Amino acid sequence: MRGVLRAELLKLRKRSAPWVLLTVLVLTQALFGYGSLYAVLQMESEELGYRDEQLRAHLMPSTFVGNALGALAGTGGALALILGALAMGSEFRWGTLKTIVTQGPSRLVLGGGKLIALAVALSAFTMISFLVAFGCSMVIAALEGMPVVLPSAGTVVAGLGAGWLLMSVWGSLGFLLATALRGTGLAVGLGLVYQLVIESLLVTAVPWPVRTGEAFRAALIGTNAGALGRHFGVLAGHGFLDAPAVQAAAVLGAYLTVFVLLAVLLLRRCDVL
Amino acid sequence: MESKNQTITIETRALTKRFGETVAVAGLDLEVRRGEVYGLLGPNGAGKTTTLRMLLGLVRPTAGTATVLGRPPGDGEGLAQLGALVEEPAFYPYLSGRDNLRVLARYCGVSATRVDEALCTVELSDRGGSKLKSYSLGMRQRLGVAAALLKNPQLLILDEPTRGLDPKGMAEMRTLIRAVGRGARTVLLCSHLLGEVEQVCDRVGVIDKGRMVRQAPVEELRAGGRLVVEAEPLEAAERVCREFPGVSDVEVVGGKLELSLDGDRAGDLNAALQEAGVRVRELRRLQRSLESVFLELTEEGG
Ligand SMILES: Nc1ncnc2c1ncn2[C@@H]1O[C@H](COP(=O)(O)OP(=O)(O)OP(=O)(O)O)[C@@H](O)[C@H]1O
Ligand SMILES: [Mg+2]
Repeated sequence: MRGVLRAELLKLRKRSAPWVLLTVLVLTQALFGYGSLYAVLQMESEELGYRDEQLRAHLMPSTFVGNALGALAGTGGALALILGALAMGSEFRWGTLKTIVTQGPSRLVLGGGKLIALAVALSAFTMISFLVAFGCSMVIAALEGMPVVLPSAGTVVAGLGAGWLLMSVWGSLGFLLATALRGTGLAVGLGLVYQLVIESLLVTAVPWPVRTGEAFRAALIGTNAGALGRHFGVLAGHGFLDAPAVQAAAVLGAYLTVFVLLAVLLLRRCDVL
Repeated sequence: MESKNQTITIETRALTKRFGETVAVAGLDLEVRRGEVYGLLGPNGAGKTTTLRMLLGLVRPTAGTATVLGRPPGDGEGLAQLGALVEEPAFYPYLSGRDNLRVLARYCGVSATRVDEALCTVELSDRGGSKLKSYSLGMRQRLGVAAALLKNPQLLILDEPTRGLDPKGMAEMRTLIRAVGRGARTVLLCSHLLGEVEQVCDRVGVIDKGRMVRQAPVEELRAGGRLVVEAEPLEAAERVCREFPGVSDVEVVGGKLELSLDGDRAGDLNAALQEAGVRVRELRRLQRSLESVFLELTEEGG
């Protein structure tokens, strides 16, 4: 297992795709999570003569965990899905699966090693996203001349765990789709359509009977990711779910387990051509 | 039983693989002995690659059994002692040749020092640092063999390793295969080139439409080849040949004699001709095309 993990990490590290995805995450977070909101804040005070104190508070170091989780639940999840699909799909596309399967590790170990490497990469994404949020909020606090109040260490650690969990759920979905569809393109496409379109249509566009609607809200990935984030101060969105953090985390954990098990099972059974 | 397991490296019994309607391999019985270089010979679509895939555990047989190095196909312990190149070599295009091998070395748990040794064996050391994308077909093929050699395996499985190589590259590859096949290492080589198999292999299995048509040592197949004799005077030569033991089917074709000769006795025939005062201008074995071997073998099979 250790050898497989080291091989997978070497492959991820040397590949440009993960770095491109990470760059996109950092840039969107800095630009939209902080930059553009700070610009709005400036505009309000210059043109309208007042300041949205809630918005300003959202940009301060005390709430950087919630801000980072907001970015991870949105863009981050999409990027994680792409990374997960690439980690497996490319092996089919390049035909390298046969090369590594004949090296000797069992399919179980191979799938496990790949998924752990993906989880390691996604934890790095999560930590970097937190660092970016922290850095941006410190800069804004300095610009605003506000005192620096930091969240408690417990909040930061719990937040990192929440961020990693929701990134991993999307990442493992990408991995599963790539294994099932034996490639990258369709897996990424369908995964993103599900994540960005279908989930939100399910909770907002279908006139379900109230109780069915509630059940969907309680069961989808995006709504649970949102519910988890809200406990760290992420602003509530459309069609939100109001669930305890533990419940949301448990639902996400269940998704992660199912995706991982299905992916490994498929990998074990598939013919390698 | 014990000793048999030690001498048989690969054994299949009624190995069968169906893809929907297509029967790729139909009840194949294959036996590869320890230490030999075995050639699996067959035309396109005969089922060679599919057989290798089953031996490596890449695809599941529909029916039948196989044992590789005394283990079921795809078993970790078996795979740890074999190296394989199936169809075209597949590597990570964004990594250098050396990094590709480093990755594979980690998968199979061999020391990273093997990487440079393997690169050296296939003479790729000076290009090891270039990205795989920049490799020519022949370089990829050689890297594929290097990857198969990484584990210093007891058994080497190679699927058309000279595919896409120029004549010089082909000759080098054959020399390499002969070299790595020396000693206790077993090599299973697939090809549709009779010449290649003749030059490299000890024993050959001919398969067609997924069935084993004939399994024999190379000399035996070769011995079936006709001899061409160009000599003066022709009548005297023909008489000597007809009287020579083991000669049959003598024909005169375009002023030359064509005949079949049992065993490896062309030298003796030459001596007999000289003794009878016949001047021998040429005595050579007709290179039998794969086609003719096939026609013969399938006719034999009924
Ligand atoms: N994945 C597959 N799906 C359907 N049919 C297949 C598949 N793989 C192989 N076949 C069929 O099985 C038969 C044997 O194919 P195989 O690749 O084993 O032949 P081969 O002897 O390696 O030929 P070649 O010399 O062209 O490489 C062919 O008829 C082929 O079409
Ligand atoms: Mg083939």
